[in-house]
Amino acid sequence: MIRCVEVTKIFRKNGSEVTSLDRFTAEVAEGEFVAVRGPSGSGKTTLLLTLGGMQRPSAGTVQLGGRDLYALSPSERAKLRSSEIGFVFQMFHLVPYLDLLGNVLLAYPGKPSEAVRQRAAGLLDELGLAKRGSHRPGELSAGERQRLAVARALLNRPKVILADEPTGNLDPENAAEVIRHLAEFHRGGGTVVLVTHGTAAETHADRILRLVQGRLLAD
Amino acid sequence: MSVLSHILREMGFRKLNTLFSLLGLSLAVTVVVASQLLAEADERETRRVTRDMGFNLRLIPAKTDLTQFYRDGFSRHAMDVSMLDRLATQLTNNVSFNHLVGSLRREYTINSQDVLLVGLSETYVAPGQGKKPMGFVIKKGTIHIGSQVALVQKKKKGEKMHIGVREFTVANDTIETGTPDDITIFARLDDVQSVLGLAGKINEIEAIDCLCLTADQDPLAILRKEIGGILPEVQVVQKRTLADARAKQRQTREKVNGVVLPSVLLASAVWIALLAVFNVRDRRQEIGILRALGKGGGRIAGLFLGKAVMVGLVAALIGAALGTWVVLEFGPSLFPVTKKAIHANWPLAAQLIVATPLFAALASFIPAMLAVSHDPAETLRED
Repeated sequence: MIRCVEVTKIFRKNGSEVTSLDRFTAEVAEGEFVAVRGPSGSGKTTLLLTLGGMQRPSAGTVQLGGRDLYALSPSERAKLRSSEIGFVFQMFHLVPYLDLLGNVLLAYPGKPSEAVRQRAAGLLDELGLAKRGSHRPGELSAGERQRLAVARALLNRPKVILADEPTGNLDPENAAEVIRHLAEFHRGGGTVVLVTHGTAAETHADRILRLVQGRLLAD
Repeated sequence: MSVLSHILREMGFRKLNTLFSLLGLSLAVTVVVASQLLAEADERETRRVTRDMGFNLRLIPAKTDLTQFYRDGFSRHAMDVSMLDRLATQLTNNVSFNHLVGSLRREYTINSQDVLLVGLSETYVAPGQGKKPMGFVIKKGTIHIGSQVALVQKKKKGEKMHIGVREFTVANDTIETGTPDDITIFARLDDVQSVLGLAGKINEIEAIDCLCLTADQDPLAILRKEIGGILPEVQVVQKRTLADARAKQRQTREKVNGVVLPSVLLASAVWIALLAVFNVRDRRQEIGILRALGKGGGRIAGLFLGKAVMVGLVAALIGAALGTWVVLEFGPSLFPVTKKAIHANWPLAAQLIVATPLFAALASFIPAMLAVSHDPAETLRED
């Protein structure tokens, strides 16, 4: 599903260089749940953004479903992101002026049909947010916001969900709830790459990758 | 979700940004509409007021002795009235003079009082400029008399008065002007020609210059060249001070209008651009997530430019209405002489309704491009 070969990402700022990913090579099979662990600054988020086609690596290749992500044009990459990848971020990144349904539907490319609207409403229901469909994100608790972000990530039936510390701002109960939904997606055949420095996901993960200073330590 | 719906919701959410954008642009449109309407009114008023200051060009027979002319106030030589017709046929918008009136002036004695008898022709104006007479209209068989004439002759408006064998009706209430007009009797040209036995003759053509020439441009040389090319039989005398005052007044107004309008447009463009930059900054995370969700640069630019267009459209409607109201409400007290000519300018309003959204979009273009080129990874990694 995902194949990284010698992926390196170097940030240059004020004349100095920081290597965030250092010749990272790994594969994630279709339907696999992979947790990426490492301390702060180890390159986890960079890896996730690179896997999602959001951050071009300085060197190396990233393949998704056999396609070289960064050989695609920006619009092809955007289309691929929309149809095959779902993102969940630690800071939720919801659109504050859209209601819950609007936030979920935002993920849909183009004008959503009635069927898509029903699916969005169904996802809100599954994630325990059905009664709050007309609310805005600012009116939700952190746990509810993250569940909303999960619903948005699931709308287009992606092949892979890339989750960046999705439980980082949640209490244990809500964190477990979010992980449970990701695990459900995985059980349905979806691929999950979960960046975390906690241990909550370890019971669900098929494999754990450990990153230190941008390098893959253990697989 | 459609772009329009997205824009409307964002505008509703960020009310202050939307309100300030709307206020800035509405104010700009109001100023543009009001300044344009006031400029039109000002121009009319200036034309009318300066026109009412009197003729500043005097065309007299070439052989006139200027010493005699200035002493007596008229030329003792006459010229054929056909010369007035000849000059009138050359009146276009491309010549530097307008408002031609032929006159016949002579001293005349009535009941031992020496007066100035002046016959005035109709006014000739360039095509497309109406045919409004300078000063007053004199009906056949009537006269307008100066205050001293009225005093000595003991005549009032509506009373009969004889000039030679002809009887005329006094058509005016007299006021003291402190000028030779106080000892003048104005009548129609043909009436005065009849009284003086000078049928078909005039001794002066009065005119007004085009308001566009100032002293530094040597207007007299230009006017003499233009008029001399048509009527070599006349010499041109200009009331220089009056002509300069008129030209300077008009040029000052044009300069003011030339500064106000660009300044307002520039200030509003900067205002809109700044608000759009703040809006982009506020929405960095949103831009990031839109990118992550696969939305292209076109959609993101559309959110910002679309917002500018919508704000521009609403601002144009508000500003056009407000600017028009301001001028209709306060214009008449500013321009009392031509207040009846103050009207709404609907073609201008229509143009602004088209132009303002485009202007707003143009002002927001750079911020929108900033949004499009913004690296989403930067904001998505923020925690």
